[in-house]
Amino acid sequence: MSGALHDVILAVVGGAQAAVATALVLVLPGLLLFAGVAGRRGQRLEWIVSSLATSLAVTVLAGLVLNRLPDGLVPSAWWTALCTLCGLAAPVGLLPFREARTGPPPAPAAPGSRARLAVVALSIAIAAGAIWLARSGAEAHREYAYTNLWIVPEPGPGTATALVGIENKEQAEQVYALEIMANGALVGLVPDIRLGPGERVVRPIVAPRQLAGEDMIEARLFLAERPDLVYRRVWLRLAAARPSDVAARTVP
Amino acid sequence: MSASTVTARSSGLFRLFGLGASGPIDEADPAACHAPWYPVAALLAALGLLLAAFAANQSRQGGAGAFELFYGAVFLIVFPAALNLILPHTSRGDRIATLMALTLGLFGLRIVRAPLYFIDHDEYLHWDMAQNLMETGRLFIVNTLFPIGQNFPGLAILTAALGEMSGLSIHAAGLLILGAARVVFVGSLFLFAERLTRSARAGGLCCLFYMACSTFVFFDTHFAYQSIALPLMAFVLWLDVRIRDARPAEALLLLLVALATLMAISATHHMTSYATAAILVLVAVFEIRRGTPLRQFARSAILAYAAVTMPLLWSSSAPASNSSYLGPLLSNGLNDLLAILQFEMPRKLFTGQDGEVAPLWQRVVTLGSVALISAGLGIGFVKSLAWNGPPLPARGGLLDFLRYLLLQSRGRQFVISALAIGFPLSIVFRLTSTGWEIGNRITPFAYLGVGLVLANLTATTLQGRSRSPLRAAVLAAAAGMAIVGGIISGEGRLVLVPSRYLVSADAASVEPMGIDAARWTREWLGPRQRFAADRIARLLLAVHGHQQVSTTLHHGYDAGQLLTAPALGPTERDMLHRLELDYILADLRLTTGRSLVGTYFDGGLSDQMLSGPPSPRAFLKFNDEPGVHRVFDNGHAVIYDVRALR
Repeated sequence: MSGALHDVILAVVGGAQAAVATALVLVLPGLLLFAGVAGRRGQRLEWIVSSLATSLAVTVLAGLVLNRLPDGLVPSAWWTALCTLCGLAAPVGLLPFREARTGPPPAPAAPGSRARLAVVALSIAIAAGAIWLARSGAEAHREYAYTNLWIVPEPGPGTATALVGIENKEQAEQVYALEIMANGALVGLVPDIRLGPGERVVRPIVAPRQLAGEDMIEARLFLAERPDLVYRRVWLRLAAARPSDVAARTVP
Repeated sequence: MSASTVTARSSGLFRLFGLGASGPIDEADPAACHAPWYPVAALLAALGLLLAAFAANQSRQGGAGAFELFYGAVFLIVFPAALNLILPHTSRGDRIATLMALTLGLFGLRIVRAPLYFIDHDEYLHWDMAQNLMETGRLFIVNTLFPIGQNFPGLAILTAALGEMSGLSIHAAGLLILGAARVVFVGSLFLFAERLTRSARAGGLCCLFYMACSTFVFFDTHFAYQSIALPLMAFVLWLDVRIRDARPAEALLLLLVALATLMAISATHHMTSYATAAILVLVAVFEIRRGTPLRQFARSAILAYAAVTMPLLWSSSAPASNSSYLGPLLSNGLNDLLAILQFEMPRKLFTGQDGEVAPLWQRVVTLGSVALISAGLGIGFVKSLAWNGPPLPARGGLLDFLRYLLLQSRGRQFVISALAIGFPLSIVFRLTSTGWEIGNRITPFAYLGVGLVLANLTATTLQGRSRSPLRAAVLAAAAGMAIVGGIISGEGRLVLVPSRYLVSADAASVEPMGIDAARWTREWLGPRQRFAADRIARLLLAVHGHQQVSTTLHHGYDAGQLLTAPALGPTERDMLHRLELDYILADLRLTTGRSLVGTYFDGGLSDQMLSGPPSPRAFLKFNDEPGVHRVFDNGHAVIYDVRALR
């Protein structure tokens, strides 16, 4: 119960943070700056456009300035910079700008009965549904069914020579067989590796002592249903094997 | 007012081009306007979006009729809104709300097309930039994928700001920014055209016809720099006309905002900053010509001066050279253009690089939309140049006509209408194989003029004051056809994600298996390894794998030769050494078909040497190379560790 409550609180806080950040980056600097120019005339489009465009422009300029500072463009610097910009813009927005003589007449009051608002709300809901439908369709795109096989030199000071990994992305459970070859001779066999969709296994392998120089250690993967066909193959040539730059990892 | 300049009727060339035949566009009397239709337009736009989502899913599943359904959905989004915008007795508020419903409906298409992550080539370039910025906290980080991009970090700055402050992904933050930019673009264009024509109706129609631009719906909503710069440009154009008539205190504030926006454009996109400068300079020149009061001229002149100097200053202090990027593009395009003038056709229309021909109905709609727009420009161009100008002179000879157009027409109206000349130019460039990129870059600016000309023509002549719904429906259908035709000519068959991988086809080649392989490199090889790979794989490696990829643009070597060469000779070994490569990713799917975009790598020597798909034997030659490890295999992509060779 407390875990669920914690998750809800985190989601609410995260949502609020996203909303405030979006307002600060996209809306508020311009909105406050133009409060005195456009907002008082009831010209909504003018105000919306000015608010968004000015906010976009000043955020870009703020980024250029932040890049000159020692900390660079980090979150705390962004919060400080954009809050400061809003603070500077607000007094300008309070200045009593007078209406210019020329230009188009103010827009008439926007028509908006409850029925119209309901239709607009329904439209927004349908549009959201369309995006959800597209997302679920894209996530369910099943063309790409495959298996990853890899071999990398053992990164840590362990006794293994290499790590061999298999990852099942076939969209269904698969049973594999793994052969380890040294200079073309079979030195190890794991016959029944059963992996569910998305599962992976990583196995350390140790090269026979007599291997050295240009000797090669190879991993061959077979599907259990096709034991006669090499499905994937990877190898290391021992003399040239160097640990990759990745830090030592825990083998699952 | 002299008697010679006042005429009741036009004569000579003035009459031929319809000048003086009608005055400013009549605005609808608010009392006589019909009830707002925007809720209906919004509802149908949403339903159109839903249909488009069905079509996108249908395409992913390989079902028939996906394209027909998709373009039907686009028409459903456009038609009702266009009808409301064309009719004369629609209120300004209704027009604005309808326009926003249309704008957001069309923007939704880019989301349902790629709802999970960005998929287009240029989007990956900017994704990489934003990611680098968020990781390092610094601008101007060398970007091997897109060297010139470091000069223009505007979009990356915005995305980093929103992403880091909100915790949203780059994709989500990018979509929010692009959505806001879209509202700015169409809103600014409406306000700008409304001020120019003194008509909300013409303002709305200008936006409607602008949407027929082949880059509007998709290319200019890509997560790429022009998608932010164009809206800011439209905003500056609106500010320019707004400042002209503003009181001093307000003008000062607006001028400061315009200068800040010009600076932001300079830091965001080269072409847009140059186009903005050109337009503002021409406007200032026309202000001198018309003897504009000094105060108003000074405002235009300050903006024009800033629009010219800011991009120059920005470029001079930028770390990478713009000419190395734009130069080859221009020279290749001009060479192709010369070939066309010699009656050679370097590119087959409606035929992909892989030989596939577009369906007949798509060809008809595209050509039809070009014909409609051309006809509209033919009838309305000269009229729009002189729209809302001073009274016509008594005579209509050629000299009077030219004098009137050049010396007496309203400056901004003339300059923006004249941009429509770019439309036929862009069409000619699109006929070329390399110059289509220039055509693509000209189009968004040319359509400012196209939109204005067609808006004036529709509001005064084609629909005029007529309240006939049938007439309006015919025009709305034509607008719908023009917009559908624009999408077809801009995106072709890549408008929807296909069910199967296509070879080197940008959006149709970005798929989960390639992304997964790139992520694997980050997890198991570590970030910032030096990779050579093909055009698509290196995008994925840079963004999802955080790797350093080799490109001709940055390194000066075409690493594609390492893959296409039949054997590793001294040249290839020298290249491996000079590029200090750690790994090579060979995607064997490239050997199964022709590239849809025409290149597998950088378009350099490795591509030019290929007369068909590359050889799988060449890709797999590393299998037999002493010292080379084959560290990854997913059935299609193989990764070789070549550190021993360098």
